[in-house]
Amino acid sequence: MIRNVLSHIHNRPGLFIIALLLIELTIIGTGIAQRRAANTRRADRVGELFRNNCARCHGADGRGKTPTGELFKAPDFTDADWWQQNAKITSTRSLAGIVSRGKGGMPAFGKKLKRSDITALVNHMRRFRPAK
Amino acid sequence: MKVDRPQRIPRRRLTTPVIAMALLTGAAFALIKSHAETPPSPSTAYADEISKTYDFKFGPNPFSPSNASSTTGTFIPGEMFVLSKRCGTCHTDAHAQWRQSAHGNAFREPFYQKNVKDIQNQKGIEFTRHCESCHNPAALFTGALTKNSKVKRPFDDDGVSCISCHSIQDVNSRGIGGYTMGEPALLVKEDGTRLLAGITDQQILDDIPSHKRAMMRPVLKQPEFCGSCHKSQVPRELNDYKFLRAFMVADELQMSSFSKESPHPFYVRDKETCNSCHMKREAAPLFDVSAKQGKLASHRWAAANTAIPYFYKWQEQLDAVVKFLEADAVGVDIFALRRKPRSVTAEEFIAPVNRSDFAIAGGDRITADVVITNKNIGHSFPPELRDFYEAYVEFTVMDEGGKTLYRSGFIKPDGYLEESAHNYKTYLVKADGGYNDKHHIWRTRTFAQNNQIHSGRSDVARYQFTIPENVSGALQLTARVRYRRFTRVFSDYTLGKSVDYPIVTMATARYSLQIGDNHGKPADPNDKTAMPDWRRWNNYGIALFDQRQYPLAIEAFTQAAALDEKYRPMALVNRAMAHIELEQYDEAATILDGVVKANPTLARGLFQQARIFMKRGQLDQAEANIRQVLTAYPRDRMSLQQLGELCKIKRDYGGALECYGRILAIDPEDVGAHYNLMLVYRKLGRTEDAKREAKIFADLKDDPGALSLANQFLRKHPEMSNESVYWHVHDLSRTQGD
Repeated sequence: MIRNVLSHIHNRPGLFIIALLLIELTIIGTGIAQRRAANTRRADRVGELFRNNCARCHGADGRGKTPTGELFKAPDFTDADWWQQNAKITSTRSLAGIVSRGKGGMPAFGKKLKRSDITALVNHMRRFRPAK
Repeated sequence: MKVDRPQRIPRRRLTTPVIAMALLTGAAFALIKSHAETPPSPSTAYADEISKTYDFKFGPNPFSPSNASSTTGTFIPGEMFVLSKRCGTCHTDAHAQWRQSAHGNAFREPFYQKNVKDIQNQKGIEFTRHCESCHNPAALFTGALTKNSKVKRPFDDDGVSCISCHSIQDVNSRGIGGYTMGEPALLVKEDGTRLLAGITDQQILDDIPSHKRAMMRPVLKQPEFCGSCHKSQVPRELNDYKFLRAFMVADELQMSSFSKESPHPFYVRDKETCNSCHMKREAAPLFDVSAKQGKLASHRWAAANTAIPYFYKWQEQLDAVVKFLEADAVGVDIFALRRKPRSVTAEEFIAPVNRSDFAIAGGDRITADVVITNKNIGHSFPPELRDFYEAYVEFTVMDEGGKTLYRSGFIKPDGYLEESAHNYKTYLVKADGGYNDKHHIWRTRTFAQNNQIHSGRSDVARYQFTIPENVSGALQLTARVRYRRFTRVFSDYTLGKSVDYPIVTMATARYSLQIGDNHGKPADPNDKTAMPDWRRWNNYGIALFDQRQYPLAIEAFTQAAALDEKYRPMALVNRAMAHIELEQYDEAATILDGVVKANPTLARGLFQQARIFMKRGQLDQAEANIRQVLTAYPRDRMSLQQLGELCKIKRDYGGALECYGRILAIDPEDVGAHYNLMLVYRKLGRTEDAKREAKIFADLKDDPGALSLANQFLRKHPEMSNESVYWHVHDLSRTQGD
């Protein structure tokens, strides 16, 4: 049987190359789809973390326009000026520290959330920052 | 001479016990000292202080005449009942939903306030412990429900608050606060240490597992948990008379097809619990900390209370409740007509009416059989407090021009329901024979009517009218099942003015009756929402069975069996049940033998076959069947009752005690179980136990004297009298339309 296949390849090399290309494309496509699915899952998880822990004050849109957000004067993460005026505390490390230890009316999440979750939340929060 | 000297004990062997003794003595001293020095806990000091002036009118349990108790056996300081507002900081959506719910307003809403003030004025505040165990637990446990109480009550606005429900540790299945309240805690450590005072939100956030331990436990998701309040009775202490059962929703669920704990229901359904219907997941737009994928278990408990959201103008809650009521919970079907042309004595039976060919002429007397079905509710409809809730059937006959020719079950101009409406209500009768229409349950002596449709069962309402001579075209027959909270007499009484409260139409059926020839339409096989004809026949059969019209029920079940192969074994068992009621045991036995032979594990068939075996004295075969049923359904009370009976006959008193004990573990007030325990204990010579059971039985059983009171009442109220009998016809010639 193998001999038959080899004979076919020898007789029609063009067809063989096309078949190989198709297989390669399928493998690449599956890999991309898997990566996309993993990214979506990650984004869903971070979104869920943000909704459950942050959005009550900061709002789903990061503007802080919620009853508790207004009570505690939560910042507007979509405001470019806020990012500029608070440049000292908006590094990833600094923000992670605030999430971890709390600040003003904001509670500390260091014992509730894993460090990787806090980092993911900070990255999620950065997405609210308007593009320059 | 050698004198034996006492053997010297090695020092090492002495040291150990001496040290141990010293340590033990020291520990004992320390313990005594610590006890002497430790001041009583704040809870104990509080309880001692309250006890000084508290009226223990109903015995040592300070919370009687409710069935509630606390883990400490005594009062709980008010500040331990954390206000729900605090929970709302993180549980934003749950709090917002709860705030509009019947639980959140269980104490402060005006309808309850009117009623509880009535009992307070007529009997005294101590009697309200019965009510507040489920309407305001904090008031009960703080000891506020005694005359001249100084207890501050900031919790009144919270009614059944977050901390009340989430602090309950156990339930006893007795209803009326049939639970054990733990001392509220915000954190419970792994070692069981309960923490509340001074605990900050940050501390909760830092230790979520301990917060979860404090707030959640498996019992909170069990139907018996809800049943600790959604089960009610009026005890002797309240009415100076005797135990009167009011409602028992969780017990009904346990016996329904939805619990999967009983083989007896007419249909097999997927498992449902209180939570799966009343706490469906709902969007959490306020980012509740407990939400998952943006949703959380609803804490608005949409059910049937339209009055509270209507009163407070909470449209969101009202919409949720109305949507819940309209969601196919009950069904209505204009199923059959009986036609009697003038000058003809025989009636023509036409069913199902929309599948049949027949003719109608002016002067014909028509009786419409309208089937009302409790389709998708895990308990009876209506489940509770039928004395001042109002569920009824509206039936109208209109001509082509929209003119109402006949009607029943309509709202009169004064807002009251027409008296002869087909309804699902309880008529309470007072000791003086008067109508107790204001929910003064402490004055109730008996029920003159107690109409409801049990889960999965049906009812039939019959409307009789004459086809007018002068009409042509088609007559529009419409039947609607409607629900109002509350009766108009009660809402007017509460509000002190006449106000239209919402009436929800839960189900509608229409049929166009042509004067002349009517042609049946075949069922549309593509219409998945339509109830199949076999089921319509079966529902009709169930309704007839429950109205004790057994020969007609047999015919209906025969039709159902013929129309659906899958349901056939069940329909045949239904038929056999009707034969048994008619004492046609041979016919029933033939059917059941065939069913059980074809399906030896069909528990429903085995149980009914066991009834026949018992009638014929084939006790071993009966017992084998019942034991087989109990293997599949260990909590089936009917089978336990039968097995107990068989054990009694065999003088296996130990076996009988076990059966009745298992029944009482489900319903501690099962009257049959207490009666049988009394008999068994007598046989065993356990006099004191027998006396105890006899006393309980005497309190639980119906008072034969109450029947005459009910009859006197019904004689004075002919419309109610008509409605209270199983088989009755609504003669519409007396309630003609426009």
